[in-house]
Amino acid sequence: MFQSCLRISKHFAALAAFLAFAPGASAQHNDALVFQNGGKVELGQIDVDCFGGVGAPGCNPNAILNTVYEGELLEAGTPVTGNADEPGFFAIPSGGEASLPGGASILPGNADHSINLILAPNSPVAGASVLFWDGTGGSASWSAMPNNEYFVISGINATSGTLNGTNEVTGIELNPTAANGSFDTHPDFQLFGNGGAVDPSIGFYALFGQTNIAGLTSSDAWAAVFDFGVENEPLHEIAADSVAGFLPEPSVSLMMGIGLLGLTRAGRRS
Amino acid sequence: MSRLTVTERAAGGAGNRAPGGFVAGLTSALLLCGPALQASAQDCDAHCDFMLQRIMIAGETCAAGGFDPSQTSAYSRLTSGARDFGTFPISTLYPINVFDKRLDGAYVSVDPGFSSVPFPCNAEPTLAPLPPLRGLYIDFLTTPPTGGGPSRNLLHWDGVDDDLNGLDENDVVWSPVPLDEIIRIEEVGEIATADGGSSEIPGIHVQDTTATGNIHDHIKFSLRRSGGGLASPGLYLLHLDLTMPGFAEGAPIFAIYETPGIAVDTKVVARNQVENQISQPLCNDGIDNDRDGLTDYAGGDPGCSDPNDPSEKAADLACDDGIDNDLDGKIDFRSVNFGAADLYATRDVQCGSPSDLSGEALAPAVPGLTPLGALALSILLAATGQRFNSRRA
Repeated sequence: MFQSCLRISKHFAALAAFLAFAPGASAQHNDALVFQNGGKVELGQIDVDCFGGVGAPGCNPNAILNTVYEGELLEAGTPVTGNADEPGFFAIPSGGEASLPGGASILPGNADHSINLILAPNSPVAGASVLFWDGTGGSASWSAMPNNEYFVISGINATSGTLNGTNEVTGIELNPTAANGSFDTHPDFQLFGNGGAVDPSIGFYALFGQTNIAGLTSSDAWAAVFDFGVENEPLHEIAADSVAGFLPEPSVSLMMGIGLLGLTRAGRRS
Repeated sequence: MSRLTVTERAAGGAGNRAPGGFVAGLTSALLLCGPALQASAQDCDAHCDFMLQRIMIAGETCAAGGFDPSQTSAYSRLTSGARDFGTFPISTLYPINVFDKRLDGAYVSVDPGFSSVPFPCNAEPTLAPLPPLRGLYIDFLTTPPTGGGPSRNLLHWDGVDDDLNGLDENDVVWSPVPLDEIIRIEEVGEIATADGGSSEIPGIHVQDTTATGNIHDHIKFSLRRSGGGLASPGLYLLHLDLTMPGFAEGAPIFAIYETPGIAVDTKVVARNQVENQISQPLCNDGIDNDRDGLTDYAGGDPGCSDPNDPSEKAADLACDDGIDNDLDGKIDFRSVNFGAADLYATRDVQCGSPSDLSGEALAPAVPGLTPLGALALSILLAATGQRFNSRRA
């Protein structure tokens, strides 16, 4: 019954959102953008629909230098698990270089692609690979996961790893680049409660990753900030903004190349 | 029935019906015409997603400045194309209804994904956005084996050049699966399986559209054996129906999966064969697409003007036009319930048959109902049709 009520309430919430509709208010197809700069993997963000020419009028077809991606962990099962296939990772095919920052280039063709899940850099919680905030207090207050939650991250070729909050996982394979350097690939992120026997705690979970492309130096850290059950977009923004402070700044050459115009994190949802 | 042109319709087709309020006024302008979903010479060799759109209704235009919510309240036909994210600029291919992918080393693929274009006319001049906040569902249909026999929800071809004159369409022979292979589709909390049998199988909820009608999602397709072990090498053919509450027919598509160990791009030969020899218009595809108990032109479906008709619906039959003419939230005559979208729970019981001209009387204008209210009503009716798994609001 509760689930049914929840679903119905979501419909009414969605209707209300629709009646208050304003163009551009809804998330489009934003992915984490993977490219290279001087032989090193770099990440940003791109509105894939706009890049492809069918996005919202006035949308930005170019890369944004953002490395914090938001996702929603959707609830399923009993005990509940949180599930997301975002952020997706997108690489621009040859011909689309103009959407990249000046000096940057597309990825090599037919190159293997994987991600590692790493310890949070510059973290307020020493030795943590997952940070948690329950969404209370008005500003992000990160801690370790409160009740032994864990993530399972899955890629292609049956590669997967379990992130218990203090360990690192390497080599989650994602789609390799095509001959023209492109991919659009989506790993699975699944959140479990303690031992998989109870529901996970409601709150925001921040994971930290690193992208590997064969033949290139691996990327600096990026982050994925997941909402599990809070369903409050302003708080999600606060969480993401806070996590951005833990990450390295984009390289100076990229900032120069993009003319400092692409630094906004607006519309970051992937 | 899909032969009326916009001009003909304005003169005496469905658009000439008495107005029945804002929603009915829009829906009565429904066009059941559009390009046939037939074989296409367009290729989608790189990273193509299914692209689901709505065929524009009569009088609908590309809204200045982008999305126009009033364009989403009318019911019309779903149609499929492809978006190729592996090209620059990203290309839109339309119509496309045959897709192929190579499975990874674990016999899994999350492609094709599901995509839609939320801004009218940006991709094709006849394609409109999907309705907002509406669930997209996927079901398993069946296909007859090449050598005859009962249709199956999963077929297999070994990918072998039998006549030793190079691999071509003549080598493609779709047969029942050789062992106990199945293909499972998975999305959050939902699983459905094509088991190789002769039944159509309700599938899963993929995702809801956003407020602008946009979708981008990837579900997991897994090939395995029900008894364990590796599936036989070769290519596997699924016939899938993409449906959405409020649409009287789905958009049937074919998906071909190539296993590891098969020469790369054998699937292209298979795709060409399916496009040229298997894919048929809805009035000749062997499927009761509108679930009225009558299949195709040959089976006497009153919505089919001929075998090449791309729709089993009829614009001039109130109980078979895909429109909720009497605004009771129920649409047309249907004989069976089927599909993850459970479209048929919304059948109008006042319709005794698809040819019943009096069962779904045209609705009077709803007193006091503003256009915005009518729009909200239409959305609520659609939303209540989403009985399952409406997890993304």
